[in-house]
Amino acid sequence: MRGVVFLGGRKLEIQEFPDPTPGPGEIVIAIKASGMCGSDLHPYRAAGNAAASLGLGGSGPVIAGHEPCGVVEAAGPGVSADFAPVGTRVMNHHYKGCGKCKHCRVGWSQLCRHGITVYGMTGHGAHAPYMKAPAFTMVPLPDELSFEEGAAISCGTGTAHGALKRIDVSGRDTLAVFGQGPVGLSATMLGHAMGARVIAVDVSKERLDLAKEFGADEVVNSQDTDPVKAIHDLTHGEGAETTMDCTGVPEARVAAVRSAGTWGRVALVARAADPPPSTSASTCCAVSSPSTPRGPSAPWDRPSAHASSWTRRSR
Amino acid sequence: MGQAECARFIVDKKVPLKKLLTHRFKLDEAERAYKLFDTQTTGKGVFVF
Repeated sequence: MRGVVFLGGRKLEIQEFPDPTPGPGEIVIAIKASGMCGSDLHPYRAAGNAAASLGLGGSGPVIAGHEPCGVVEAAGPGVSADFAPVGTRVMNHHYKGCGKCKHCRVGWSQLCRHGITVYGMTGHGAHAPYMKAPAFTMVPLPDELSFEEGAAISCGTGTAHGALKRIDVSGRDTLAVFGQGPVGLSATMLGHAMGARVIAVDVSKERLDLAKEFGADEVVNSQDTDPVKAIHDLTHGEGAETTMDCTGVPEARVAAVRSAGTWGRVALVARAADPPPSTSASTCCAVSSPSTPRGPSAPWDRPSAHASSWTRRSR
Repeated sequence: MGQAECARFIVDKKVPLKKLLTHRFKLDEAERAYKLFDTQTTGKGVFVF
């Protein structure tokens, strides 16, 4: 079969790989849709291969694509016949951890520190007709949703949902979302569905137009407007109850914290090389940390990313 | 499972997630797909099989 491989330096190649066969406890999915995620841009743009760009080592070409969705094609020995019969529509939680540590045991395998495989980054992913992964990483896709929607939920949209739950967004809140890429746009759409008043921030007019269409009540172009001031102006000088950074850009992460009002809740979702933003000690206090949205075998996402949730306690 | 819960929420609340998917590609179009996605001006792109 043929699969997409990121070469770094904005180059990619379609290479030939053997069709996967399921080993013990594994399932092969016939891929119907494979999503493009913002985090793909790291290995796509990187100097060197995908795994190296994540600091995860790895060797040899790896098939990209970590938003898999399709149907079960074959199951290996030890997968019970009723677990996921051939033809079952599935999404995939694309991580395999050690299976023993405290994170793996509660389903947060993306936080495992004892040898993690990230399908689409360090293990073969879904930009190919077939993908193999452990049966326990399969997540059923409701009949009402298309494979394409399932692919989005497999990472980006699931990440947004997990983060919004973590900061407990509700109809009582204004939610400011920094970055309107696939994760940020999902947060706008889901935050709106959760009843929040949404302020969408980005530097791209095209993406802000999409945000408006998806339920943003207000949009702020941070290219020409100070988003912290704009968000305070839109919230009677108080700041927003909830804010979220989906960019990973240091300035935006700091702005997301500063845009939150007293007792505000902040989610930092995007992959970023730098540690969580430092704000003055008197303004902000971290209350809970690792979060790879999307949730246990499903929370927040990204082994190496800090998707942290903060509560702003005082000014 | 958070992912399953997210999927159910989208169904139950009729979230128009389909709208997020602005670009569809065949695998052979991968180069063009990522060139476009790299501009960071689009919604979500997806490869369909």
